[in-house]
Amino acid sequence: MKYYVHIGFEVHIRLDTKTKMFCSCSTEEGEPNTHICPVCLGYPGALPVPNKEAFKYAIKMAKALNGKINETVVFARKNYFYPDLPKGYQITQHEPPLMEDGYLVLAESGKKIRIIRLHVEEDAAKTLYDSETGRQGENAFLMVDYNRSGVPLAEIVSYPDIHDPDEGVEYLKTLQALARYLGVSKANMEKGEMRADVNISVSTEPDRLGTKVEIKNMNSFKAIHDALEYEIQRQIKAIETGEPIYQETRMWDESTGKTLVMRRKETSDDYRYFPEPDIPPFKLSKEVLEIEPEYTNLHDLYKEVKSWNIDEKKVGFIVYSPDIYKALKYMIQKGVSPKFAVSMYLDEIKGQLEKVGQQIEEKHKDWTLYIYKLIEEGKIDNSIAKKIIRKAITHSKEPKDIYEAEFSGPGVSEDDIRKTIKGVLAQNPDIVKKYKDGKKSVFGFLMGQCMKAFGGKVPAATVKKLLGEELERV
Amino acid sequence: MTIKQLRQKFLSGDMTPLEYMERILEIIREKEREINAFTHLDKTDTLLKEAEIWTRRYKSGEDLPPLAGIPVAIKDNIAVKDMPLTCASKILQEFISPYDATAVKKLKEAGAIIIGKTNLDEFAMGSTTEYSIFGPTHNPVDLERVPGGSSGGSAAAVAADMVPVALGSDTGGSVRQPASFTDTVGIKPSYGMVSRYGLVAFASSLDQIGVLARNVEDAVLVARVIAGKDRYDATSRELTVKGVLESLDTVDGIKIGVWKELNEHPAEEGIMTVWDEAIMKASKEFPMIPVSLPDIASGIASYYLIAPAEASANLARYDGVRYAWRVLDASTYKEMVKKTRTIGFGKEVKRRIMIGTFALSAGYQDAFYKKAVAMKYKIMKNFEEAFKQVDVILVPTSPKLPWKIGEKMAPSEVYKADLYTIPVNLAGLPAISIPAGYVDNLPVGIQVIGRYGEDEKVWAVADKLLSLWR
Repeated sequence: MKYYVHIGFEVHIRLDTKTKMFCSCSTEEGEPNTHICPVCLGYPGALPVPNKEAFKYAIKMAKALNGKINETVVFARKNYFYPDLPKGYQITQHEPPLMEDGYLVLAESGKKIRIIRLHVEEDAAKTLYDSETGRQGENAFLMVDYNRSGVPLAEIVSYPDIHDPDEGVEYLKTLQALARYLGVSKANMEKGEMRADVNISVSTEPDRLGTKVEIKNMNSFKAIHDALEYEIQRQIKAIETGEPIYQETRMWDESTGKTLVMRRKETSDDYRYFPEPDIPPFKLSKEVLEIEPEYTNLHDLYKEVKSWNIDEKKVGFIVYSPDIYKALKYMIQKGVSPKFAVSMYLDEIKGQLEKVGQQIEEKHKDWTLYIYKLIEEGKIDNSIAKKIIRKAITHSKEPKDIYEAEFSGPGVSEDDIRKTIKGVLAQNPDIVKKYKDGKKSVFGFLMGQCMKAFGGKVPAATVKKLLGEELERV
Repeated sequence: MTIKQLRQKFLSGDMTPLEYMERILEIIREKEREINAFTHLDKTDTLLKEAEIWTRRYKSGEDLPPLAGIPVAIKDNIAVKDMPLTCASKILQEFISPYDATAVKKLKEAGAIIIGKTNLDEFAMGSTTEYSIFGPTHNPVDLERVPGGSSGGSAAAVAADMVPVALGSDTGGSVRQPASFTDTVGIKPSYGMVSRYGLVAFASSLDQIGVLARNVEDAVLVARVIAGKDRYDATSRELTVKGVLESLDTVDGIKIGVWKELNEHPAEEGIMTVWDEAIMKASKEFPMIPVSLPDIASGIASYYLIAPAEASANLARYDGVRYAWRVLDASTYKEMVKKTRTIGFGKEVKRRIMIGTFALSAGYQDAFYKKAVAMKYKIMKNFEEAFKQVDVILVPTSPKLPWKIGEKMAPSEVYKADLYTIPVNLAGLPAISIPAGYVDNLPVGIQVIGRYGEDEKVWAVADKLLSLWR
């Protein structure tokens, strides 16, 4: 039998503001419960005041998702009890959301995934369970860190337009990359800056959705992929054996590689939404409404990177890595060939940095440009370039310093090179004679002798050229 | 003696803030046992020391803020740093506020000495000041009777000369009705005029901090001090008030509206007699025009859905997790929250949480909460129409005289007693209750209601009317 899988996501991304959504506490991480105040702790009498900065970030993301923008912001209260929810309600947007009816173009396939809505809300605090508090059994209790309480989030809800785990991961990677391209969020899944809940259903008819099951607690692309794989198989098996599939929330258990029932929903949750009376609806400022996203369609970028004719396998990685794409693009615009930019910047510099536990930075673009120029001018070759880069990294120096100290100046000027070549020729009169007699194959031997004399500091091409010239003159 | 007169005496040296504080503490010592106005009094030493500092500063001849050395009492649902903030509830009985409400901060900056916290109905839900873990407050006018509520502690403290002024809060009449019951003046400002930051929320869209005093001038002085837009309250606004010590506006050309449908929803007979006389006296000074407010009797139904709905969310934070009291004999989070809330909240609070939760529930929200909100807008419209003809409108404050403490009444009966005050909160308007006369020595108050933001006009008219009625 053929099975039809429908997958939809609810993704939360942390907006990268300096202060929280409804108070002026810092959004930075820190010692537990150090970035807190009466407002984000839900103290009696404290009131929320919206951080309008958050909308500068949210509007960019909302516009990049191509939907209708609702210019008047209406906050609502979503009521439920949880230890990490200090007020007993979450301040969120209900009707209308900031954006509705949008879509996201997947970076690689170019497929459109429809987006139901994007809205702004506050994050809850972080609950630490037994495994994290180190307390077990009788002494066990929950601990709550309220530093995260009130941090601004954008929630993005998709239609169930996704049909397999790979596509699911592509959707999330595209969304994550887009948020990073726009500077809206760091969107790090491991740090909880991007969190995804998934709805999945399996059906035997193409036009009908199966029973919706929600899966939570996945904090990496791999976990999401594995959870989806597992859940699809579980549901197919259930259909085949005639077992019921319940509408329920399941939890991904990383250690066993299974999804487990968290709670079963007999009825839909009743959050008793109503308009937040502490925050009068307000119209977004002109300044915010005029903000436009610099990127919307990552598939266009994908096509562009593909046109660079580089290693096929690297295209996706580059598109999903905004800093790298932007750096490569910058270098290419400066005249560097795409192939060189990728091999030097991505393979060589990034690779070497990672070996010593460092990260690629802004300045490494200029390293690449500098090295490219030296090669263009014939001053160094690829193997020297690599030497320079490695030395620069291990000695925490600039390539320019390394080049100038070791690969230029005394000993490597054209005159000096000629002088050294002449010396080599003088030491090998027999070989020179053979060459002159027409035995051109000895050139390789002479070349090797010269290279040895230069200690690898002079590009082979230069040596070859000058050696040829000097041999002619003999 | 008004605050201005008091200040004059402090300036001239006829009396010092220290002497005045001693006098006030003496009155409190004498009367508090039978009145029970306070839930907390600051330490005598601290208060005397503060008064002494002001005494020295008055002597030094420096420029002093408008309330320098004036004692003020604060309803115990408004945050005062380092003082208990109990809301007269078991659930907050151990809570000490780590911060000042904006209104309190402004009072302190104006030189006021915060002497303590006053009794109220738990979380300001009630009209008698009986629903309190501290026991009922007694009405200084007649100790067997309730002082009204929920700001009954503040009203009683003012009426008993324990303080010249006190802050209260008014969600459905909680400042004005106690003022009426204790023969004092109670201001309910336009919604947003005074920051709610630090006022423990009951019904956020209706709550407003107000002032109780023995005369209009004092109440106005304090209202002006605490008014103003606050960056910690997104619903606060900058509404026009005069300088703190300036005199009230003139009332030339003011037209007064008299609520026409009162006869369909009359107060007790005695109150109606006082009302008629008051209107008669007022008509000698002002043009009196009957105005129709046809829907305001529906305010009760609207209010008793909107307020509990908001309260059901506002009170969700009292879960025992982060602060104050919690049960210790629970083994799971759920059990702890359930037990803490079951034991920690009183009956009336739980009743309202239940009503509110129900009114917001899926499937019922349209029939209840949304209808109630629609009615609120209808009532606003009523006032808007009426204010096309007049500047202010008079309505009695309470349909009932202060009743006996412990008197058995169905909750719906008690709710009905808010008939005249609730529409003002629903419409967000400024109002003031002033003494208008007596029925067998029991005081009767009348409200002056104004257009949104025209608080100064309301106060000026009230001051003039009070001089005619007293």
